[in-house]
Amino acid sequence: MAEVDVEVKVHPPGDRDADLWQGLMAGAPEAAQALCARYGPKLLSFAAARFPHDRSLAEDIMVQSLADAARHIAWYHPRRSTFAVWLYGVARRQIHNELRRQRRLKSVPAAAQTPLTNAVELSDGRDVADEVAARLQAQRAVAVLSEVLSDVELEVLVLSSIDELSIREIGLVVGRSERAVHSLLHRARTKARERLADDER
Amino acid sequence: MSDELMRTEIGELLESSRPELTPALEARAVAAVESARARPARPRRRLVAVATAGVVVLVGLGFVPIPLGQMKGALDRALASATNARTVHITTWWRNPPIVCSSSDGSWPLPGKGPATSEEWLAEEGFGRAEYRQEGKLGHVDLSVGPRETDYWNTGDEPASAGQFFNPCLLHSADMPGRSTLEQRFNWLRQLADFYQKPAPEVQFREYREASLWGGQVVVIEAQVTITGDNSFVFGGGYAKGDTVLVRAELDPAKNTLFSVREYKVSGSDRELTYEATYEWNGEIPENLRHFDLPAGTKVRRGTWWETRVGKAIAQEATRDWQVTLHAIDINRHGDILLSLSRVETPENQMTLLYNTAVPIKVEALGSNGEQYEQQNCYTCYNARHAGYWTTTLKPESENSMPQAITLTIRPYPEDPSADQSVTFQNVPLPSRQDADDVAAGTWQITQQ
Repeated sequence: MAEVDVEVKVHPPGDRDADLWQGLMAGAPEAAQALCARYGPKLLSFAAARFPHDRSLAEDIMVQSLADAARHIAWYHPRRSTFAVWLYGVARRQIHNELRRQRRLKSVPAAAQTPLTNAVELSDGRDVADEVAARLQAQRAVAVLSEVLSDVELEVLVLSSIDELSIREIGLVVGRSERAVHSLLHRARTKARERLADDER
Repeated sequence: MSDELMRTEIGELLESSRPELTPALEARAVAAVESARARPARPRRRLVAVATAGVVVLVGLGFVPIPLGQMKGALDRALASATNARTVHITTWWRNPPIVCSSSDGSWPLPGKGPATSEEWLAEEGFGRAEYRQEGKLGHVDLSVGPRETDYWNTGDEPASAGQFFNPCLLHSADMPGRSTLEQRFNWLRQLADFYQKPAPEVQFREYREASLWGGQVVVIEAQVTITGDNSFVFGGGYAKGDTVLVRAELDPAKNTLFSVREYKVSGSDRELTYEATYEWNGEIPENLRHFDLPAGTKVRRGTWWETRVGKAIAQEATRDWQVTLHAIDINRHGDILLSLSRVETPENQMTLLYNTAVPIKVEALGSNGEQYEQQNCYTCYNARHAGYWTTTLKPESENSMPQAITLTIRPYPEDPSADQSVTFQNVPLPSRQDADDVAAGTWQITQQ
């Protein structure tokens, strides 16, 4: 019988996060690595959706959110929310702080979308040009979505897509009721569906 | 595309667009997390001091609810803030919805069909849109742009229908406040204020600060009331005599805005949520919501009743509190007189608790030939805080009576403190009879089958 790599989830996600929480509370180095590995990509997606034209800003927000979470880990209480919900709340606050700062500056910094150096760094023999082109196309699609959706519609759409958060959990992150999130999500999906269909034509 | 497929597609799109978490970036993140990690626990001997400081901090941050006593000013300030709002977006949910809206075209929601939701957007420039859903199905849409209103009904049994008409209460004129669309919603908030101002033991109050999930504070105002049967007004509906209902409002103490109103049916220590409305103030209203394209196959009719009457004034008088205008007189084939009337608050009107002008106008009428008339009914859908537009039918004792004129004694608001105030229009000439049983119905034109 051939061996197959299968990821066996012995613990429900909440338990894995409980270990992570306790590790962060104890200042364990492996917890810092686990936090970055488990939530870094998701928080990067969350931030990149809000700042699709500014990769370095999305990265800064991801790093700052993770550091903020570690710094204020004592504020997290598992009875009030799941760890993921709390972490997305931390990231959302970072994003809103940045949006407020940009409104004060009245200009949006425009950094390079995909520096060539990063593209080369990532290369593992795949066609770098195709990969960069595909990413740029996806970034453009996300940028279009960010234009047609309101801020909160984009947030709930992204949260429902990058992580398996329930409607209630998304509501906790964005500070809305379940009904409001349900309605926002329905509206966001309808708009996104129409927009993506337009782009395919 | 199903929601699940949509979720997958958006997830893949975000995954594709996301910058790679390069080894360098991951190392930077790990270093940031390690350098920012939580401080180790304090020595045990300092535990009491830390705990004391912690309690002080938690109290200061609002994590420990603090009773604020009878601080009614919070709700008053929220109402004042609402009055100055540019826009409001309201999401509402009912577990057992009462009839929320009705017209001659239909009513919503459908009884016995389970929980219902609505979403409303209102703007100060005279825009309003409300969408009502039950079981996820759109049952009713009400769109008003200035005084032009479209009422769409799709309640299932009948083909979808829509009425397009002129709502004089949404006019911006010298007599009307310019914010009338928002004003209508504020009437609901005033009902909340009235509710809270009822004296104990009719309503039991509790007002305190509470922490939100992320550390900010909200002011909570709770009012608990027992349904008596004859005065069962609460927002959620579906209650029986003897039920205990808790209304909970949450307010932002910094911005003085209302976050939400929730209503619970209370049984012992259990609370069952029956109603929830959440408010967002001063957001932008999406452009696509400013139009509503009627679905194909919708039967559309257009009403011109008030459009052709609101600018006319056969007679006008004022009491201390109310200005009364007789806009039109119509008579059906049986001699029944239909009056089109309005009342508007005068500057002297001191009715501070007025949230709804649904108190009907009372009319006594005497024909020039001595014919007595009896007031049959009084209808309005056009109702704001400061004004109401009404039609009322006067039926003669004899169908064959043909007076040339009529004297009308009108009590515009027959309840305290205006109960004894009235105006009299003497010998108003009567027009000839129209060849219709229902003169109002005849003014509706079907514009699309």
